[in-house]
Amino acid sequence: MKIGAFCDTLPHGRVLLRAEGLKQAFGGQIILDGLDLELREGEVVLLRGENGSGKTTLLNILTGNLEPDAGAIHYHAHSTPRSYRFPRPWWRELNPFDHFTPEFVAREGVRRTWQEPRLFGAHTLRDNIAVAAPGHPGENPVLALFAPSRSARRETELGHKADAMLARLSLARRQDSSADKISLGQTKRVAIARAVVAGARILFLDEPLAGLDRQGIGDVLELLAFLVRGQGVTLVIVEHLFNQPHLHGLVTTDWLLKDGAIRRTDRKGRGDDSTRPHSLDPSRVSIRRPAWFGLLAGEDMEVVDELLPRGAMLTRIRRPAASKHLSKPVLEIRELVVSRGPRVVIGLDDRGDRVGFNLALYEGDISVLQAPNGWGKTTLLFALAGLQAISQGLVQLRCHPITSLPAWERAKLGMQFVMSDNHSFKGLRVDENIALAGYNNASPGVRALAGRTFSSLSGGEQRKVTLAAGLNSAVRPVVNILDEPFNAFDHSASLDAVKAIKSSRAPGTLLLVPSAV
Amino acid sequence: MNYLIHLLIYFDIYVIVALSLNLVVGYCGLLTLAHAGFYAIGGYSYALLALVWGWGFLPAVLAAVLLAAVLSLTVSLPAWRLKGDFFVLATLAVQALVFSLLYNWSNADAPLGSWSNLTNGPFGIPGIPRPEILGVALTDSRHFVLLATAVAALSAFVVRRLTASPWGRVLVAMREDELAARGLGKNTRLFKVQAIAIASCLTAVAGALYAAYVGYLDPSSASLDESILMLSMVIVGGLGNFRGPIIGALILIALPELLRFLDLPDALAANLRLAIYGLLLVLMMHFRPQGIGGEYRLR
Amino acid sequence: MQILLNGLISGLSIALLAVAFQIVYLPTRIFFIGLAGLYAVAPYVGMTIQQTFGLWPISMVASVAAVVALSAAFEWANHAPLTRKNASEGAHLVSSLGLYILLVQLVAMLWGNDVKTLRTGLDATYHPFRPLDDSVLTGSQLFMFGGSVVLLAGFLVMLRTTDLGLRLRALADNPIQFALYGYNVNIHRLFAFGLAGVFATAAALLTAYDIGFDPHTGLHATLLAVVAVIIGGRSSFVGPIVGGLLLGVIRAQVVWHFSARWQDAATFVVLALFLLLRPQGLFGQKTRIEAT
Repeated sequence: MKIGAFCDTLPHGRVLLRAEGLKQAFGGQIILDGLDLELREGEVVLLRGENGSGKTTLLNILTGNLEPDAGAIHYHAHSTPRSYRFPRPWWRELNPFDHFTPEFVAREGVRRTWQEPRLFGAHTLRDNIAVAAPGHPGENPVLALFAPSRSARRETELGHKADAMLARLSLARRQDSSADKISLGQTKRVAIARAVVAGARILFLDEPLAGLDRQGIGDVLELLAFLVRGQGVTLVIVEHLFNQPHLHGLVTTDWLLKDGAIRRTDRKGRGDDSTRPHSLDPSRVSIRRPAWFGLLAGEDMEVVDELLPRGAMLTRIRRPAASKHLSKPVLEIRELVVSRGPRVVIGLDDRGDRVGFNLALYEGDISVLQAPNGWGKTTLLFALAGLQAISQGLVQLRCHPITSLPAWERAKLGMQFVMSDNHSFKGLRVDENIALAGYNNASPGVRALAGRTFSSLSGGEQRKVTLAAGLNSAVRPVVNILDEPFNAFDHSASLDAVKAIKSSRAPGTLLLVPSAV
Repeated sequence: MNYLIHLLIYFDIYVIVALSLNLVVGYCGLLTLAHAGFYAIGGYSYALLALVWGWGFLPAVLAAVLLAAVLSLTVSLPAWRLKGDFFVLATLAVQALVFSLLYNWSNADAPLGSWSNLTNGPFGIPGIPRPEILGVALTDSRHFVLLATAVAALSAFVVRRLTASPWGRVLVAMREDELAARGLGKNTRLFKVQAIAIASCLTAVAGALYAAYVGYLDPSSASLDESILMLSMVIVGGLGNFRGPIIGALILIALPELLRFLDLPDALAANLRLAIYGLLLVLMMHFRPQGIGGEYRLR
Repeated sequence: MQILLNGLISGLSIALLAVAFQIVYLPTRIFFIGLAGLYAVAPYVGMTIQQTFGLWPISMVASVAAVVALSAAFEWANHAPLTRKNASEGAHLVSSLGLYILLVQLVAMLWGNDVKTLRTGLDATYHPFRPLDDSVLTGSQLFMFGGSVVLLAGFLVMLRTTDLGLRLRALADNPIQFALYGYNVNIHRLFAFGLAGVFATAAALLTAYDIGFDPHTGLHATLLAVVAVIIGGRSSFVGPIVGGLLLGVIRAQVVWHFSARWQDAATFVVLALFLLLRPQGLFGQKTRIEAT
């Protein structure tokens, strides 16, 4: 690990966390390869890296949610440091006070948040914060039973603290409402506040801005700034590319995770514009095209961008001639509203009003829906596929309403789906997989894999088979809908995927991809 | 009057069982089928200690509670690692083992309570004495009902205070999202051990009360059917709060009494009662999965 | 040899029921306790038809038909609606338990609580290994032995070679992708429940001819079947068969070396060992546990 020479001049304190030689592999695929890192007090780290580079894996390891194959982690946040070396011998597990688990790592002052807020739904907001407090005497059932006064004193104190915290989050009158009655941005802030009340010295944040509108992003950023300056909490943030510019004023250090190791760079001049979170015009940003885009669009194609609510963008790629006689849409989505649990995911506008989502896909279109993580791409996909209930609105396939049809009826009408994960029959052979798709004239490249079990294929081979099977699964295909078809593909794999998509017989294609910046 | 007293005693016993089971199923979200095992362990411990060794009620119940607490580890340790169906199965195994031990630990040639004939097997233990407290023998049901009601009230108080405490708050947090709770530094394994131990102790007390009241105990008190009955009580009544299990216990008491009006033969009435329970379970899952008065839906 | 044979016969019954459980469990993830009710009903239907018509082939066909219809009704009236409501695993389990209780109590009310036996006219005894060994099999045992081997083997062959078998395996592997390829999940689930009914009937009749039956044997038999599934592995169709046979043999050995009364204790000790040491079973693969 190299630390820049100017690092010493920055006002960073002592080392809080050090990891050495971390190694982690899943099924032969190496994710972390002898990774070293060091986290100092007061730093705000932005952990960057491509999709699949292992950011979440690293986060899981450092917070005790996943045991690495090899390496060592030292936690120094408390006066008595604690070290874990891996692989841990089995007899260590016999000692009940020496486990590498989230709760033990949490005691070293390490907390995390998830992409989902994960508030406790049955608790009020106040209890969500109060439950996090460490060392509460009332959590011992004997004391709770026989010395309720001790517990009660702490409880009053905590109640004030929680209320003060909620007031900070402008939720002063909502202490007693349950977690699913407030907006996503608010739940995310409560989740962060909860981690801090629990005594976080180091806080790992997994995509804290994902799925938030501008107001929500501003609120979360303000809270993060307060934690750093007011509470002296050290942050490590994983954030999607699209939202990274928002963090500009806050971040002191970048960790770039690549090839299983971390490259560290320190940013100079934090505090320049830190009073105001950096705001960004999504229309300006999203003009940048992802690498595979050129392959898809070619040279003679017309490209039209349309802005959609909440930072999403639809790009239509079509032959110039096609636009002259705009035919009937092959797929039309009108005023669609989809909820997950109590929260509306699809169908909100930028102000959070429930207006419904609209989209039309025309004959000959290859449309790319780019949206930030947490926007609801997967929910939209599931709603279109018939796997997720639609609250309101209409979906038409060639002017034929399909909203109330089950998934298999939609598939029979010509909708072809390629999911980004869990997209095949892993225990079956490749030839069985393509037979189930009804794909009879498989390409030689796919046929060569025929006798092998799907799960034994490499990641790239799996995607190839899935793409081929998915794009040939209907007798008379009408639309293809693909979820992140180029995720973690190199150039030649992307080229193959583009070929497969372009050679599909379906007149319309919709790609759902995460926004690129 | 005697009839009402009889009902009240049964209600007391069921309330303890339902409230304690709710601690595991409703507050920890762990579906257990081993509860009748601990009920029977309580009953048998009291019966043997009182009948064979002549212990008094309080020390015998205390011993039964301790035994149940220790044996509850057979349920709580699997709960560290197993989830969902797997956990249900593990509790089933515990249940089957307890039943098998009570049923088989017998030898017709040895006296009851000796090492080779501890439980008297399928013949059960007759002649279990009524308790004697402060020198007063509670042979009269009118006296026994006071004891039963006092114990039930005490249990309810304990459960109420515990579930309203920060301890109960952590249980609910753990039930809602165990990983998030662990991420906040809560040692959820310890909480599971505590909750299951407390629930097992309480139900052991209920078992001891039952043995003392009826005066006879056989292995059917540890049968799977008994566990299922207890489970349907809390599921129909409601999970995850104080009110639900009490409603469940009331229904369990009221249903057979209502069926009495139908004037069916005894054997048929028992079957019909169980059939209604089965039907109730199905209907509940469709129309009110949190139970009549509950707050929590099974995962 | 006799012990091994007896073990295999009871093991076959366990294996049949384990397959029935698995046929439902794999595609739907429903912990199908209602199976115990089906198991309990089957011999009663057989007995009633037998008494009316006196022909054992008809009684068998009738009990298979009745149980298949009941099983499909369970799915149609209970599990499919619950799935539409996105009900939890626990709700399926509890409602299935409720159906079991309901069915068994109805059986008990209709036919009584006492133990009954089926007589077939196949009571002659055979010594299949005469020159080497004195093991005895009754005619009904031999018949059921042959029948269930054919049934299990036929099922495995069907899974491997036919289109329907492929679709069943696909449904078990990934129901979502199955639907996205245009296959009607509801119909296939209904078929799976029906097929489970066939196997449950076979298992119930096998035991009923062998040792008799009463309304309450179902739950115990189903528990053994589930233990067999755990031993064999929850992710395959072959695992439960091997697990069932193994469990049958182990139980017979326990009877021989200790006493019949410790059979269940031994069974659940085996279950506990598997749950702790090899929860994926003999044929299962260790799945990656992710922090979610």
